[in-house]
Amino acid sequence: MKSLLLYLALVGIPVAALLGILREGRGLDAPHDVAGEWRVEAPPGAGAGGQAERAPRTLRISQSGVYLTASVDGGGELRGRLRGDTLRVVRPADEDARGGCASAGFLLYGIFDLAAEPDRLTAGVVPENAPGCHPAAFTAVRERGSRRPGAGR
Amino acid sequence: MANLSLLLLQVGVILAAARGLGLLFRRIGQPQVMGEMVAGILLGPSLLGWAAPDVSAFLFPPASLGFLGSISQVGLLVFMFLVGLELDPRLLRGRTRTAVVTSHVSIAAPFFLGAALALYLYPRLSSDAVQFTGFALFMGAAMSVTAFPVLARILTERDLLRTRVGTVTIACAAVDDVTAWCILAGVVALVRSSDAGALPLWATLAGSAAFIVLMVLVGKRAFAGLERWYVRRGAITQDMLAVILLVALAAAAATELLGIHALFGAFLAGAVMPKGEAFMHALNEKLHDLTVVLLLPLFFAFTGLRTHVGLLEGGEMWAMCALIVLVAVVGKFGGSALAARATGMTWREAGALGVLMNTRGLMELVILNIGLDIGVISPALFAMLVLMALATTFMTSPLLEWIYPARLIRAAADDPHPERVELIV
Repeated sequence: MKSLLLYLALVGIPVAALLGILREGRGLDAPHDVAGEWRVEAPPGAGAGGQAERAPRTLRISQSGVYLTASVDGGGELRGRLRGDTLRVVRPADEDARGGCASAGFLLYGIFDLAAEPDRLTAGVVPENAPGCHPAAFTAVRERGSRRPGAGR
Repeated sequence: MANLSLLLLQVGVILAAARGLGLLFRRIGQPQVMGEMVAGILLGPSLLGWAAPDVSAFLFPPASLGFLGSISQVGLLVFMFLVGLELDPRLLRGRTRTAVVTSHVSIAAPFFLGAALALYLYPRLSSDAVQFTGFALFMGAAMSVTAFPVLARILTERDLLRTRVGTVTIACAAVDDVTAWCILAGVVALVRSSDAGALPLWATLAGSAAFIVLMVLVGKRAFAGLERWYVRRGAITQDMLAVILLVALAAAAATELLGIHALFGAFLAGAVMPKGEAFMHALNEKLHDLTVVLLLPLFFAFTGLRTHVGLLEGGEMWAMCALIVLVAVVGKFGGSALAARATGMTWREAGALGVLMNTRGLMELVILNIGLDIGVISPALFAMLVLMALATTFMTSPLLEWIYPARLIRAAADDPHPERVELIV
């Protein structure tokens, strides 16, 4: 009898509390799922000077909640964050900045239309501390099948 | 051919690193498996990829990891079969009440705390592709696991199996293992049921329940014939071994198709195998060394290659990691110790049991890899939980030495009451 009461107290209470947690947690919002391969569509200014040169062709995003790791055109991993429907990824300038715009640092920002088209990103690249380099705008679409497993909802 | 050369090189490097660090860790009083786990992490992006990216890219190019992953999965299937084989109902003899109460509390407490922690982590480290229920239940399962094989090795090395603490702990760990894997199977079924093309949850649960009943009631009786075959021949023949491996693989395939992961089937196949001591020893002898020496280090390396400690940037993420370790220790150590004390152990014995049950070891890595595979945890959370597994395993030996030193173990081992338990892990 003592063992049964002990069992009910030490196991029953946490299990009951767990049910409360699960109910409470259903009201929580997690960051929008943005992980995967993003195919860049023709930028609005393609062929018009600096725009096409600066816009990336591919974008791969790995996501841990609000923390992002992005790889632009297969390059090194860049760190960024997701705040609401907006992502910001920063690439510092190369130490040897003689490569012109290609080696300049930039800010990659993007906005998702979560309600209408969550798999489309309206984005832009803004060179930082590089007066001769132009910003570029582009849109990107997430490749089918590139979402991480478990993202079936 | 180039692929084969690379694979052989990878296996050689992994094996050398695992043995080297394993021996080093043994010298500092840690279980060898701890060094093997650390070796895996060091070969990944957290050290080799960071310190020597060119070497890392040459040795472990992303395109080659599929081979390594496949071999490590096969090794893990065999290992889980061996873990199941180790589960012997005789471990519970005379200790059922204490073991069940302590074990279930040692699962319920960290499970609850893990789920509570999910309330904080979900908005920060998950995404809306994962439902909170699956995330919270997985966090609970990840917090509540105990490393039965590592624990068995620590208990054997320290001669603790002749003490009450040791025998109760191993019984608790056995109950823990079964309970934790059942919970995990349910969580995996829940998460996978939301994938496109997956079986509906009710079908997975009903099918899994039917499969378990079939294995326990029909399979167990049928597999008893294996032991009779063994007794007639006096050895495990190659034909017999092939049949046993086919059973394990078929069970693994069945649970994978049912949506609760192949490892569960391999574990279940081992659990329903005959438990005659000679048969278990002979079968273990056939499979153990190759699995533990060669195949498990591949799994550790594969895990290490997926663990990117560099993702933990800034104080906020390291604080989350510290919180995860704290919650894991408080839940498992605190829950186990409290329950052991309530069932009649002294505070010191209860503390020692809590320390031992807090060992996560490689079973945690197995569970975490499943979580990453099915997408319920993110890469940064995976890295944090791997660090938690390492930290809790590392702290076991020194804490145990502090709470329950060798002189007390010797004194307790002289106590005539505890029944000696033999383990073959």
